[in-house]
Amino acid sequence: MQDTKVGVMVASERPELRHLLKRVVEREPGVSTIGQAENAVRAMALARTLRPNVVLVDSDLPHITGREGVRLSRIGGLDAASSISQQIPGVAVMLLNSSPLSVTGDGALDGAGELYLSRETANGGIRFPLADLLVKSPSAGTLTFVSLQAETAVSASHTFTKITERTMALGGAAVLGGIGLMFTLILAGAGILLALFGVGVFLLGLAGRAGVAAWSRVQPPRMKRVRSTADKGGRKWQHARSSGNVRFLNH
Amino acid sequence: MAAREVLRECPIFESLTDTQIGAIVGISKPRDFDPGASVFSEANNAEELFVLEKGKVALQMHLSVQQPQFSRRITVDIVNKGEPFGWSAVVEPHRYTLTAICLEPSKVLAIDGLRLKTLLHTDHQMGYEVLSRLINVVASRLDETRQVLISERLTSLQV
Repeated sequence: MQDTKVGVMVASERPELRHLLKRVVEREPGVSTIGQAENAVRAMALARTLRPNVVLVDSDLPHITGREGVRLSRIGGLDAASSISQQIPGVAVMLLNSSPLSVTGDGALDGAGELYLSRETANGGIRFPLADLLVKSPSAGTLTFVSLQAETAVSASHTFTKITERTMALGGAAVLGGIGLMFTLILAGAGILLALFGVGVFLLGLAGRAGVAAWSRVQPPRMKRVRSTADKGGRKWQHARSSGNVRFLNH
Repeated sequence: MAAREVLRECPIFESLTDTQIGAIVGISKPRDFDPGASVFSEANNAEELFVLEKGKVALQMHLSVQQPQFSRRITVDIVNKGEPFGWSAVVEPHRYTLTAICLEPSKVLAIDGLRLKTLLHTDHQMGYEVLSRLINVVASRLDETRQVLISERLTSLQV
């Protein structure tokens, strides 16, 4: 695979991204960039002329460029990639998802380490060498969807950030849990004190009642005048609460 | 992201009440697509309206010419996160006018078109809110298509 000569064509409106992609693909042995295009029309024309083995197309590629006063949608990437794949036999076409990229003027990616192309699936990206695309001859109309990924600096910082975030989340949860537990313990303590107070009051009440009963047994019964009134016959009577008896006063 | 939040971020549903959003959540289901997968195809029965939760989707139109070898699909618009697509599901004759192809790993919320129409008929205020915003989406797609046709014409003059 060392002797494989792979000619790559890169298509992107942004010169800095083209430069970056050139660097990334040429890191692989036997791979060289043989052409660059800035729009879809140019990419299709160049691919017909140069007949590269691999075409790497930015999905944000404009259809055409350079017309004053005409607003252009950046939607030519998929069309260019599909057309090249269908019209030029044997070429492997990759469509690059470049939306999250922030490329600086000298063609470097902010804060990134070693970059590589990753095949995209719903379950994540898979790193692959360009030569792998040429092992089987590509079928017409088939596109490979790729993105640029960074291996070292970004991955390490990303991992560190993730660990930091998780640690902070764990710490936050522990603090909240601790506060909750403390609050529960305070409430439990207050509950125990309240229960003890209740028991004390109950016992005090019980003792008081026993004392009153004992006092009643020691003291002789006393007649207590509660009220005096007259019944239908005009008789006055007196009610003595202590004995429960009724005595008539004027019979 | 929960279905309720996805709908809240979508321009056509952003003005609805919690109850109205809840009713739409009840007729929606999430779906995942690989890059290159087709969410729906042009001229097929339009049964679902979609809201893009994650990823990027290209809307393509089939361009028929006399020589079949030159027939191709051209992209007329790109759907980004939070945007609706597949509006034909709530507008007669319920046939998709474009093909939707995922450019990235994508997650969408699929809303049952027939049941959504019933909801919009039942709750007139909700119907007005949703349909008036849906018209903006349709108008925007028409504008994008017009721009693409201009680009195509310029290209044919240039080449």
